[in-house]
Amino acid sequence: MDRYINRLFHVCITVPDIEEALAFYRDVLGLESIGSLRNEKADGAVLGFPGQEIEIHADHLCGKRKDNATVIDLIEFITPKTVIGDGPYGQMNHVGITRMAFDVDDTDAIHEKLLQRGDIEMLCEPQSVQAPTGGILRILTFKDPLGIVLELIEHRPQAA
Amino acid sequence: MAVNPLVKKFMHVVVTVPDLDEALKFYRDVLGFVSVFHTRTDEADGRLLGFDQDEIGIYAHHLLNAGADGHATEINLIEYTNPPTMVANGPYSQMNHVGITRLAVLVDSVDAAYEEVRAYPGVEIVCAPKDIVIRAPEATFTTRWFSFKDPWGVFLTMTQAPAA
Repeated sequence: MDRYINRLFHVCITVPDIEEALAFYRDVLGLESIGSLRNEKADGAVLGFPGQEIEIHADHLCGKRKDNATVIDLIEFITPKTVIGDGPYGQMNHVGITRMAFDVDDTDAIHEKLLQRGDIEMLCEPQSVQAPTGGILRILTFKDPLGIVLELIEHRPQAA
Repeated sequence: MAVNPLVKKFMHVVVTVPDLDEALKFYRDVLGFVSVFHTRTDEADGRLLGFDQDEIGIYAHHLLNAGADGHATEINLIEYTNPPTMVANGPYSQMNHVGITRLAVLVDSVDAAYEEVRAYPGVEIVCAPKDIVIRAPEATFTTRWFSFKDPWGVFLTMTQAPAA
């Protein structure tokens, strides 16, 4: 069998306002912007807008470990504008790209930080589950300010 | 950048599918991702994923590109079995819809991948391979892309390393 894929290159999150999204993804979660485009005009065909010139703002984000991890591409559509519609998928069993998970050092510390903001909907309190590879996983799920479901996973090699 | 980055790594992205074995025929057997872990359980934590029930049923495979090292981001394909995956109106159809809209993958040859992908039943080609000029602040370069919807409507773009 041919192996076509070298790697997952990026995952795109469409947002209504790039600066507000950066205020959360960069300034709260601590992802680093490694590239930024403003008022970038492009042929829309590849993104499904044939025959149109589109205009976007975009930032490419990554975590502390940059080796090989996939980049998150935050995009605000200007022309045509970002559509809110019914918002992001409300239920995780909806077909589609439903959730992203981040590897973190301290799930509980971030949980406290998110609670202090007051605008973050937790799906549940931090949970401890057995890791398939040994030790435990400390996991938290929540919705970002736009309603996108994110998951934090801390691996504790030895059960405390 | 925040003084104390919370996030070490982007660990995985989840694609919810109606039938995992069917999805594997495309993601594993055509695209060539490798399954590195799988689970089938009726006792997954429902609250964690926002369900109103303690236990949910899922069938999942975690995929990595062939030869990936331990730091690569996984795609987790999940078929929900209880409650089942809801197809509703399908995945976001427009790329300017708010939410996690698209996966981009790197391939050796866009044109070779295009021929393979377009032949797969149910795939909808959105845009045939074309050269796109990217004007970044540091440099202008040309990359080749094509885009398609997988048989369940998930939007993917494929690109190759930019031409020198």
